[in-house]
Amino acid sequence: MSDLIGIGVSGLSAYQRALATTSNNISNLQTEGYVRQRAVLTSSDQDSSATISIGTGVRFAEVQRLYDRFAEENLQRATSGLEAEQGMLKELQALQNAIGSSEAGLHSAFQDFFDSARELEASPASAGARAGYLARSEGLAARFRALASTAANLDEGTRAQIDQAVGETNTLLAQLASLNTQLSKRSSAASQPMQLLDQRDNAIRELSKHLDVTVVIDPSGAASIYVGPSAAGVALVENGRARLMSASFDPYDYGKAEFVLDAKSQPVVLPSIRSGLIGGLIGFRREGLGAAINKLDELALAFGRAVNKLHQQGIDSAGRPGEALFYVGPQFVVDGSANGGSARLSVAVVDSETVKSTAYEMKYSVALNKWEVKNKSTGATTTGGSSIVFEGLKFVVQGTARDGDTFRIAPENHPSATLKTLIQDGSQVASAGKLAVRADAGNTGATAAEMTLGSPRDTPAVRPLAELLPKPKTPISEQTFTPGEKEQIAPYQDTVVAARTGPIAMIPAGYSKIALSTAIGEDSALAVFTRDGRQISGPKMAATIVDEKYGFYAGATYSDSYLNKFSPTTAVSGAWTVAKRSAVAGNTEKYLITLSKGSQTVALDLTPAVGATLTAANIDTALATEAAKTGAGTLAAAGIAFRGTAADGTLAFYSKSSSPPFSIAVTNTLSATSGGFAGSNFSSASPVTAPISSYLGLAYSRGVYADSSRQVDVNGQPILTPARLLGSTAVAAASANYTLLLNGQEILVNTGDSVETIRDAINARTPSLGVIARKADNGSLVMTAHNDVRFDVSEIDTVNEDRASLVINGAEYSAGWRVRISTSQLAANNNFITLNGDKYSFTDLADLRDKLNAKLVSGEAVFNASLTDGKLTIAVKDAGLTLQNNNFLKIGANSLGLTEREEYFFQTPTAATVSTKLASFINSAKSAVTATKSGNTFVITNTAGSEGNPISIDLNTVGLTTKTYFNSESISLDVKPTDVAGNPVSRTVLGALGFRSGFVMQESAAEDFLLFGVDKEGNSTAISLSGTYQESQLPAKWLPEKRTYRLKFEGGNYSLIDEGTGTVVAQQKFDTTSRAVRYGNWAISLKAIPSDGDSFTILPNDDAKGDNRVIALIAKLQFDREILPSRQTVQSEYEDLVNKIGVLTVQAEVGRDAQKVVFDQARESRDRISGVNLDEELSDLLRYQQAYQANAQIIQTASRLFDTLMQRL
Amino acid sequence: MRVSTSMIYQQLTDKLSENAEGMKILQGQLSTGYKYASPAEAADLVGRVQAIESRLKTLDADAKSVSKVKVGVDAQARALEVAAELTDRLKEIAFQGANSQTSQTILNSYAEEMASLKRSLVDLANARDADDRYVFGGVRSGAPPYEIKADGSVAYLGSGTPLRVRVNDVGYEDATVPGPGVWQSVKKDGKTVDMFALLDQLGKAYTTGNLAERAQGLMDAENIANNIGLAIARTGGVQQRLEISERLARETSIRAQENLASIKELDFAAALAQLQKQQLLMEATQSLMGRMSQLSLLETMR
Repeated sequence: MSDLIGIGVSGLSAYQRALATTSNNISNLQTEGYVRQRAVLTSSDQDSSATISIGTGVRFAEVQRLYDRFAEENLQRATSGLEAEQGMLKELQALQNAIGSSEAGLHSAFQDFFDSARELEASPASAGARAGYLARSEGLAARFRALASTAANLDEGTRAQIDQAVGETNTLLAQLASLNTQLSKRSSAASQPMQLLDQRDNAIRELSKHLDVTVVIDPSGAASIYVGPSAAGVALVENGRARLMSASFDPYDYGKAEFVLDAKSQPVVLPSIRSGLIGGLIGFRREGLGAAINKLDELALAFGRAVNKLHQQGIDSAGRPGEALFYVGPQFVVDGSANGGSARLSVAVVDSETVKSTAYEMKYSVALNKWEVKNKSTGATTTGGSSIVFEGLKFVVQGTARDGDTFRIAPENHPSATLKTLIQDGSQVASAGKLAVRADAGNTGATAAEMTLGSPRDTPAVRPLAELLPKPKTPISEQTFTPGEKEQIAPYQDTVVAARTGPIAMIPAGYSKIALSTAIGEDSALAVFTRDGRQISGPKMAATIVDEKYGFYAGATYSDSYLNKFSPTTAVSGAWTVAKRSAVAGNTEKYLITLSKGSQTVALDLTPAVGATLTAANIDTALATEAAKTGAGTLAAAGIAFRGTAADGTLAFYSKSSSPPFSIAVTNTLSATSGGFAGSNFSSASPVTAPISSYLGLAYSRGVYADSSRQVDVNGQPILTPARLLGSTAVAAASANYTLLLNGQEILVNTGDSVETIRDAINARTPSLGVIARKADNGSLVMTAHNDVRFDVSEIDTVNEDRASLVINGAEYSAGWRVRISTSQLAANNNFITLNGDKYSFTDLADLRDKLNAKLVSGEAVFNASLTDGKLTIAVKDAGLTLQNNNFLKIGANSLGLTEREEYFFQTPTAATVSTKLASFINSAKSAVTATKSGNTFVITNTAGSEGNPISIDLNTVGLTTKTYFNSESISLDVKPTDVAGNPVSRTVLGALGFRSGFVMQESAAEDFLLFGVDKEGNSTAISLSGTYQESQLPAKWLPEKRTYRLKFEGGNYSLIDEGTGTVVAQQKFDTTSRAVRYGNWAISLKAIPSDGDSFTILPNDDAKGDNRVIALIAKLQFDREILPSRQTVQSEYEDLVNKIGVLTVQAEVGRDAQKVVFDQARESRDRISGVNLDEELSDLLRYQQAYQANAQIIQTASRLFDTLMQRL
Repeated sequence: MRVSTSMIYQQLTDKLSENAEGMKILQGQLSTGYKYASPAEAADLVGRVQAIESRLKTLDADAKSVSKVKVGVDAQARALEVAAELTDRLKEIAFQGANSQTSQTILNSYAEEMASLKRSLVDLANARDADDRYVFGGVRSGAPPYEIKADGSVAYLGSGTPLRVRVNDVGYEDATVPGPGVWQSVKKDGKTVDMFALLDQLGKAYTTGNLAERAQGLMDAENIANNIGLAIARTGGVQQRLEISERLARETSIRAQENLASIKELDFAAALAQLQKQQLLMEATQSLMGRMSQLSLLETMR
C-alpha cells in the first residue's frame, strides 16, 4: 500500500516539475535566445527484492535543453551573411542615390559644361555665353565637391558604424570570457545552468551579427571564438580571456581598414573580415565607396588637367594668355613627427600631368644610404638620394636622417573635394587660339589654312644629357670651361663616351648655362644639331645623319647654314681702308657715323686729329670709349655694340634684337680719303644673315674651339660669374708659328714663344681686345673678359667740386673741398652744427662764421669759414693731397639737414683736383678696383686677380647709372687656318695652350639639341666629355606659340622661318596627302595644295574676341578618349561608375534576399528544435496536469484502500 | 514539423513589412510617373538613363549650333546672290566695253559704273548676319573685314581662320569664313591680282580706252563671276549639310526619347494592377494575422 502511495507521490512530484518546466517555457515565450526545455521522466527503479517485478513509480530525470549545435551554428553564419549584405546594401543605395541622380550626379553636370562650351563655341564674342560657361564650370566643380562631400559623409557614417560594431564586439567578447569563467567551474555542459548556456549562445549570435566567427565548445560548455570560417583563425576569446579589438582606417584610401587585436600590448592584425555588419561595411568601403571616390578623383584630375591644358594653350578675349580654369589638386602634407633624425622633407609637384592623388611613404636606410619612396596604393617604389623625382613629385630631404626614419606623404584632400574654378570673369575665358595663320596676298594655290595647337611632335627617344653627365660632377654655377675657381684648376672629370652612330645625348629645350668640353688634340669633337637637322656646331657631318632613327624629327633635312656661325642677331659691317685728315689747321673735315635704332640715334665722331690718319687702332679706342657711355644717345641705350676693326678690314655693329632694325649713315669729308666706310658699305654691301644661334638662345655658339661667354642677362637676371677662359694644362712654349684670332683680332705667335710672351702680347692690346691675359699656376693661359666703367669727368670737377661721391662695390669714395650752407637751411631758432666733435650753436650764418673762425685763430681748428652771397663756405685750411689727421671735416649732429659723416677734404679748389683726389682715394683703399684718369675719362678697372668681376656702382654724384656693370664682351678664340707663310695650322695649337674645345650656351635652348661625338671628318668616334648645365624651363619667349613664322613653299618643299631672327628653323618636303605642317606644338592644315611661292604667316593671334578654336577643343573633350587611361570619355567613365555601383547594389539586393532565405531557414531549423510553441506547451500543460491529477487519484485510491483495510481490521 | 509561436508571428510581421514596402514603392512610382523614385530603386538602369539624357541634351545643343551657323551661312548666301547679280551686270559691261565701237562717252559711264560695282561688292564682302557678325571676316567678325584705302585699293583686315562650329558628333561647319576664300584673286598675266584691283584696272581701261585691256576685262569679269558662282555653290552645299544635320538630330532625338521613356517612364496600367495586387496581399496578410490570433489552444481551452 505504501508503495502505491509512493508511486503516486513520485508522480505528483515528477509532474509538478514537468508542469514547472512547461510553465517556464511558456513564460519565456518572448525571451531572446531562450532555448526550449523539456522535462524528461523515467520510471523509478523496480523493487529488486520481489520475485515479481513491480514498478515503483516515476522519476523526474532531468530538464532537457532542446539545443542543436549544428542548427545554432547555421543560424550564426546566416546571421553574419545577412547582416553583411544588409549593411552593404543600405550604404550602396545611399551612394547610388547620390551618383545616380540626374540632379546630384556628374553626368548631367558634365553635359551642362560641354553644352555651355558649345554655346560659347558658336558665339565666342558673347559675354552671356562666357558667363554661362563659367557658371557651368563652377556648377560642375560644385557637383564634384558635393559628391566628394557625400562620399566623406558615407565614410564617416560607415566608420562610426564599424567603430560602434567593434565596441559592441568587445563587450560581447568580454561577456563571453566571463561566461566561460563561470562555465569552467563545472566539468560537464549537462550540469551547467541552462541560463548560462542560453546567454552564451545569445552572445555568440549577437557577435555573429558583427563579424563571422567560428565557435569551438569544450565539454564544460565554454566557448572559444575564432575569427573567420574556421578555428584556424585568430582567437578572439579563449577560456576566460577576451582580446580587445580596435579598428583603424586609412585616412585617404576609403577601401582600406585594419583590425588589430591587443593593439596596446601584443598587436595582432586580423585577416580581412568578410561577413557580419563589419564585413559588409568594409566591403562597401572597398568595392563601393573606395572605388567611387578614386574614380571621382581620377575624373577630377584628368578632366581638370585636360581643360586647363587647353585653356592655357589659348588666350582670353583681351589677348592675355589663358590661365588654369580649374584648381586641380592635390597638395601634399608630410608627417615625419616620429622620426629621430633632423631630416625635413619637402614635396612639390613638378609634373602636374603625371602626379597622382595617392599616398606615399619615404623611408631612409643607413646601410644603403638611400631613401626609398613607395606609392602606397600601387606599391611602386624608387630609391635615390636627397632629391628624388617620382610620379610627378619631387621629394627633397634636408638635414640628417636616422636609419628607418619614415615620412608619410598624403594628399591634403581628395582632388574631387577641392576642384573649383579659378577664373571669375568671363573675359578671362581663353576661348581663342594663341596663334593665327594668314594666307599671304597673292597666294594662288592655297588661300586658307586651319591652325591647331596640340601636342608637340613625336620626339624619338634619345638619352638626355643628365643621364650622360649626371650632377653634381661639376658645380652648376660654372659658366666657363673650367671646373675650378680661378687658377686653382681641378682635373677635368671627363666621361668617356663610346662611339655611336647616333647621338650620344640630347640637351632638352630650356636647358641653359651649358658648357661642354673635350680636350683638343684627341681628334674628337662635339657636333650639335637641332632635331630639325640644323647643324649648329662641330665638324660638318654627312647629310645622311639626319634621320628619324637618330633622334631627328620625321622628314627633317640637313642644313649647315648655321654651322659654327657666330654673329649677333642683326649686324651691319663694312670693308675698311685707311683715311687721313688734311694737315691744314682748322679744317672742317669730319668722319661721323650715325646709328639709328628706334627712337635712339647715336652720333659717333671718329674724326682724327688734324693731319692724322684714321686707323683701326684709333677707331677701336674711340668706339671703346663710346661703348662705355650710358644715357640717351649712346650705344648702350640703343642696344648696339660693335666688334672691333677685324683683321679682315671690316667694322661691324650689331644688336641682339632685330626689331626695331637699325640703320647706319656715314659722313666722311676727310680730304685724303682713300677708302674709309661709306654708308652703303654697312647697309647693303655685306649684310649679315641672322643666325640660328640667336634664335636658339645661343648667345655665342662659336664655342667649338674654346669660346667663353660674357656676362649675360638671362630673362633680365644678371649672372654674377666672371667670363673667363682657361684650360687644364699648357705646354711651355709654342711649337709652331700661328696667328691667334682673339675676339676677331690677330695675335701673332712665333715658335718658341712662352705663355708669358703670348700673355704680354694680349695685354698690350687689352683696350681693343677687351681681354686681360695671365698665366695660371698650371702653366695655362688664362684670359678674362676685361671690363671697366668709364665716365666723363669734365663736369665733375666744376659742378661737383664741393663733394664728389661714388659707391663702388659697396664702399663709398668721396672727394671735395668745402661744405656750403645756405640761409634756407636755417631754422627760426636753435640752429647748431657739430664739426670735428665740437658743437656750435648759432643764430645766423654770420654768427656761425665768426665762431668757426675764432677757433681757427686760436689754432684749435683746421678749417675756415667765409660768407658770400648768403652762403657760408667751410673749407679745410690745410692744403695738399697728402692725407693728414687734421685735414678732414667730420660733420656730426646738426639742425641743417647735413648728413653726418666723416671724410677727407682738401683745400685747393682747382678744376682737376676733385677727380684726381677721388682716384687717389679709390686707389689708396687697395680694393678690388683701381681708378685712373685719362684726359676727361675716369676709368674704374678691376685690379689684378679680380679681372672680369662685375663692378657694382651704387649712389654717386658723378652721373653714373646705378647698376652692376658686367663684362661687356665675350671672348672668342680661334686660330687662323694658315700661318704667315701660308702653311696650314691645326687648331690643336689651342690645346697646347691648355684650351679645350666644346660648346657653350648661356641662355636657354629654344629647341632640343642632339649631341654627336665625331672626328674631324664628321664620323662618329669616342669622346671624353666634361660639362655643366642647368635644368631650366624653356623661357616664354622661345615658346613656339609666342613667335611669328613664315611658311614658304617652293619646289614641293617648305621652309619655316622664324621671323624674329630670320632663322630657317625647318625645311622639309611638303606632304600633299595630309597637307599638314607641324612645328613645335602647333600644326596647320592647308585647304588646298600650295603653288610655288605661296606663303603663310603664322603669328600670335591678335583678334581673340571672336575666335573659338580653343573653346571648340574644350567642347570636343566630351568625345575625347585620350584623357583617361581607360580610353573612355569622361561621361562614359562616370556612367561606368554609376553602372558599377548599380550592379553592386543589385548584387547586394540579390545577396540580401538570398541571405534572408538562408537566414529564415536557419532560424526555422533552430526554432524547430529550440523554439517554444504555445499550443505545444499548453498541450503539455494539460497532459502534465492530467497526469498530476491521476497521480493524486492514485494516492487517493491508496488512501481509500488503506481506509478499507483499516475498517476491516 | 514544429513551428514556434514566435516564428509564426515573425513571419507574418515580415510579410506585412514586405507588403508595406511594396506599397510604398508603387505609390512613389505612381506619384512621379517614373519607374523609380530614387536611383537606388533602379540601380542598374540609372547609368543608361543618364547617358540617354545627356545624348538628348547633346542633340539639343547640336540643333542650337546648327541654328547659329545657319544665321551666318544664310547671310553669306544672300550676299553672294546679290554679288552674282552684280557680276552679271559686270559681264554685260565687260562685253559691251570690249567692243571697239563703243564710244568713249559710254566707256566713261562704264568706268563710273565699275567704281560703283566695286563699292557694292566691298559692301557685300562686309555683309553682316542677324547676330551682327561680319560673315566674311573669319574669326575676326566684330569689325568690317574689307576696307577701301585712300589710294582706292581694298585691304582685307579679317582673319584667315574661319569660325568653325561643331554641328553634330563629327561635323563642323563655318559660320563665318575668311573673305579671300570667297572674294578670290584672279590669275592674270602669270600674276595674282585681287578681285577689287581687277575692277579698278577695268575701270581704268575704260577711262583710257585701252582696247586690249578692255578685251582682257571680258575674261577677268568671267573669272570673277566664276569665283562668285563657285562660292555660291559652296555655300549652298553648306546649307544643305546643315539641313541634313538638323533633320538627323531631330530624328535621333525622337528615338532617344522613346528609348528613355521605355526605361524610365511608368506603365500606369501595370502599376495600378500591381498596386491592387499589393493591396490584396496586404489585406490577406492582415486578415491572416487576425485569424491566427484567434486560433489559440488557450481560447479552445476556455
